[in-house]
Amino acid sequence: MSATDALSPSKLAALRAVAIVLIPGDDRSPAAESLTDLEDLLQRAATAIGAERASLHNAIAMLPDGVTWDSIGKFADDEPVAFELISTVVAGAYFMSPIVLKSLGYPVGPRSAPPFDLAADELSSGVLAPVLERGRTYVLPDPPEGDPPQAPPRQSSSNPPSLRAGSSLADVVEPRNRREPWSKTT
Amino acid sequence: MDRESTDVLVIGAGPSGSVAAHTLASRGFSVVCLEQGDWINPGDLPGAKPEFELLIRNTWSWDPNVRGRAEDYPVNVDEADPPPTMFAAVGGSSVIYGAHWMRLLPSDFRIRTLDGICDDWPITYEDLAPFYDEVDRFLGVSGLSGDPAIPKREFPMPPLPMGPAGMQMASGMNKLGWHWWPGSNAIPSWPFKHMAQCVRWGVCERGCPAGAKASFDIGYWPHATGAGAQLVTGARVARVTVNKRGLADGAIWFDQEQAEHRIRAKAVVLAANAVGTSRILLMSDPDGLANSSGLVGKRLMTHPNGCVIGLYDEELETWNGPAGQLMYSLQFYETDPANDFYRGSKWNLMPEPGVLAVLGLFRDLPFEERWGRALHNLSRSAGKALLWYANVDDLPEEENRVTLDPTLADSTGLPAPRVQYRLSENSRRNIRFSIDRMAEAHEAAGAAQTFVGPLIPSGHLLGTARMGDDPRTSVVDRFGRSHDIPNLFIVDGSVMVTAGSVNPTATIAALALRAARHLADTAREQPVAS
Repeated sequence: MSATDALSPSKLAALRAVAIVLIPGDDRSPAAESLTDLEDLLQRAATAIGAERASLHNAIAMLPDGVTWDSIGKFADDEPVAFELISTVVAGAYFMSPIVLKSLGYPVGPRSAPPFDLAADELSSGVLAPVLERGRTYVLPDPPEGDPPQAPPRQSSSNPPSLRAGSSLADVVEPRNRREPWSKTT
Repeated sequence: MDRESTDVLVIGAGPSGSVAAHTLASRGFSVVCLEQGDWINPGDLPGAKPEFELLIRNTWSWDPNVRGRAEDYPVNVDEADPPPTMFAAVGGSSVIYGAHWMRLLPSDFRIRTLDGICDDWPITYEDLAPFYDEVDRFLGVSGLSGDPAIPKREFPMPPLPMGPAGMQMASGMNKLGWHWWPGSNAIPSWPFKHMAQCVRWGVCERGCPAGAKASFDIGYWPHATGAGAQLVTGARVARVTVNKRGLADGAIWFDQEQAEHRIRAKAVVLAANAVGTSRILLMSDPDGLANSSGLVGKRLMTHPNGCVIGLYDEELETWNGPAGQLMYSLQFYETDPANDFYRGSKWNLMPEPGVLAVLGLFRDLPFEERWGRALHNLSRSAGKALLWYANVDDLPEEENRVTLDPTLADSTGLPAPRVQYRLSENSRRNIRFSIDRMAEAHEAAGAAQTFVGPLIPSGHLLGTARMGDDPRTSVVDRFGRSHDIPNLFIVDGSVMVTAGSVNPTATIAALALRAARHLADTAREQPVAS
């Protein structure tokens, strides 16, 4: 990221103000305000969004003066796209902090290989026994003589379901934009 | 050997191109591979960086149109649901694949015989099995033998652990009496050749920051160049050239400074994926090169992924990989006459390592339930999120196709591909069924909440230059040789007659190995341009 793309002090201050309002602490996780490197994290988060940086600059410019819980809540209602980008950067910065990740139980720092015998321990528990008891389930197109019949039984090709391409996906899945909300089933 | 002439020109340095280049160079042929992308340094990949979830929004997106790198060509996806994904680099899209290492089942090669739909392949599972075995050994694939849902298969490496997440789901699947099996992955269990040991970053599909995944830049290319293959990066092929005798004699390509180059070759191997290979064939001739069948670019299949995520109360350590698949299920793989669709799906269970991804599940909540102290309650579902994905068998449809866009162009000025892809009614029904069953699996495993995800774009690009014995109804023969141009081979997923439901890279690599070996074995009888 070039120097011209970096958040100016005033824009950084605006993001910091949003972070302080949106992310107070609780008994297990720290408040955004308490993170000594919060501004560095915000700057890094703003860089990481790449091509959306211009949109972020515009969104910050739309923020209300004097961010409060009520004013940022109203901003979220009035300018949902701008709020989503700002809040994503703010949350992204917060959850980059090792202190915060540790509070969630996440490992921080270098990773390590799994214990050598972990897979063996898992599989020696007998957890696969029900699967193995079922026997072969795949279909042999030309089963050798004496083999059990194919499983499952086949459907007659005289009445195939429609295989035509075409209509809308709307009743099957969410819109194709993967950033769309997920639909809750339970 | 120089860059002006070679025995074999390979176009594309992804899985199929790397296998072909290695195989042919090892047999003593001079090989030049042209790749539009460049090498990716594992240290540049986003997965080990604290901001990785922000980096994957744009810079490291799966979508070339979002990524917007010069080496990526744009794709017109105005009529594509979902849009295809791909990655231009040495190793191709395997740089960002999950390394789920699955084989087609015997029935996949014979669905005309079994179901009365589509076409049988001209080859069988048994024809391909030795090549599957050979690639498995070369890459150090990890997994557990003995799965009753697939033909006998041995693994060169033991399986990676499933962790508490996999064990949790195993209990649920056993309650339902449904098939599952520990994941088979192209991720060695310990350091192997040029690959490091997996340290479970859980971000395989964003590129392995540890260099522990068998992406083909690591798994094959060092061996291919060691055998003498020459790899030219930043080389975008504009067209395959054909001489007056109707034989392929090389290609015209452009470097990153847009300088034009000509390379001559005795044989040409296309390995640019089902979109890129079609594009090159269509750019090479007004009617499409090797297109007497009229099928070049048609019958694109992509494996759209249905997805259900479960949030659990138990600590599942879903920041740990492999991801990679912790387990897979073939419970609903074969055609079931009780369903209103043909064929089925392959499921893979994956951990969700990202905190922001989990928070995104709650995007519909009112402001006061998402922010403030409420944020901390929501964020504590991180580490407890499991995803079931279903690859559904995507049957070939003539309307799903790749053509050249009349206006959109890449950074070289070459026409961009236009992908027209709509889910068939069969796939829609299959996805709907799979989503319902995956939700049941989560509930049986004790999920506190489940969410249906959006349709996931797929990088499984298959079927636009299918193989067959009849030149009227296929583009290439059973070894990937063009019916029209006998020294032109296609070795990527384009040649697949049907898609199956399994992740296709193992099949693509096996097909490429089989085709390259056939090319080498028959070289003395091979008509060449010069």
